[in-house]
Amino acid sequence: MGTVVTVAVPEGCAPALLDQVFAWFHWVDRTFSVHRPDSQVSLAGAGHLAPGDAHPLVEEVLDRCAGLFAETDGWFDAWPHGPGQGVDPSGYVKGWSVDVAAGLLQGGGLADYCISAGGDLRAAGRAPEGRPWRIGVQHPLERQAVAAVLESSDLAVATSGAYQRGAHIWGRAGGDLLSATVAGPRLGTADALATALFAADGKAGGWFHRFPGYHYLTIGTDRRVRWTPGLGRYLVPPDPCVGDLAS
Amino acid sequence: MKRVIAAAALTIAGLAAVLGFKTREAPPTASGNTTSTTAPPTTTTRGTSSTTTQGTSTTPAVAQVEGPTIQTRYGPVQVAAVVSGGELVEVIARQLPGGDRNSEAISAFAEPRLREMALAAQSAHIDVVSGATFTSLAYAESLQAALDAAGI
Repeated sequence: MGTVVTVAVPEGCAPALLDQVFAWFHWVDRTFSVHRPDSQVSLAGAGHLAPGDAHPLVEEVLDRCAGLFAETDGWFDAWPHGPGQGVDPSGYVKGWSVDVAAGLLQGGGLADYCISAGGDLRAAGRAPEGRPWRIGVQHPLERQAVAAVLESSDLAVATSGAYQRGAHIWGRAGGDLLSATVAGPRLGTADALATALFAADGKAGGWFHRFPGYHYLTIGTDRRVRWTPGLGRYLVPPDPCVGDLAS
Repeated sequence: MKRVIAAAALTIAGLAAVLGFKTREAPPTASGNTTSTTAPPTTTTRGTSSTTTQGTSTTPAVAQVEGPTIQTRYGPVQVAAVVSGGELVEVIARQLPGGDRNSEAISAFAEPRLREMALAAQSAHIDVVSGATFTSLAYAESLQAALDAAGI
């Protein structure tokens, strides 16, 4: 994946639990990185890994990517160069790996945590000040600023944007969006939906409604911030008094 | 509630370094959970490349590598990478849209409403930020080219 993972937990959290979480992320990186020619995903993409020889979690992820391709009407595409021309599940894997890590923390008895993987995050419980987590949405033009603030004690938030690095977004040049942010219960899905929504230039069409519980906020090249009504209830202040309401 | 912060930079050297820079550029309103530079003394940091997030590398043989100028709809973007001991330790913005490396210049491209939202958000306490901090794809492209030229 080539990204930075930050985990915030209350002091006193068992070191072994954090070790387990980071061992998981390193395993995910070794297994799913498209930048490592010897990763299972690279081997699978090059046709050097026979079906059935892949790790079960690799199979699971690729199956889910295929499902998301269909459910987003093709806007989430882990096979951007066509069948047999490599696979890049990165738009799902990063968030999915955070979901698994969140499960590890919850299984270890932690209720308050925030895991951020390269700007996609999952926050649960309470922030240090004892209130719900406040999550900024990166301002696409001013790197020191945020364009909106969400507040929740249980939320996954993923953002895709033209200001992000390298080949993170495939198949799109120009367009009406600077960034797309998706919030919902699971980060793997939110990650894929943010990727799809940005690729679709914010034209969610009917496919977004196949994902109940997920909401979005977009920032356009017209400098307007738009969000769905479901997203508005997380906004601070929780009143859609600024920006445009997406219909 | 005090916190333990653990950060792992995953292992693609160039990209991990880029994102290490990213954490150093986190908004000043962010609390300790996004960057160790604002973390309380109880912070522990883990990870293979996490020194890139600390900005404290004292490894000798510092080199500065210029990235190419990338044209965007907002204007040219160029960065220089400062590399020490095979790791990215600093990024210098040579050119950003508006011809000024100050982010205030970039804000001139923002419509007032977005600008106002940014200012309003800055006054709120933020725990974590979703998104990346690069002003543009070109920024990352120029940086990546500089990193490639530096062999990391």
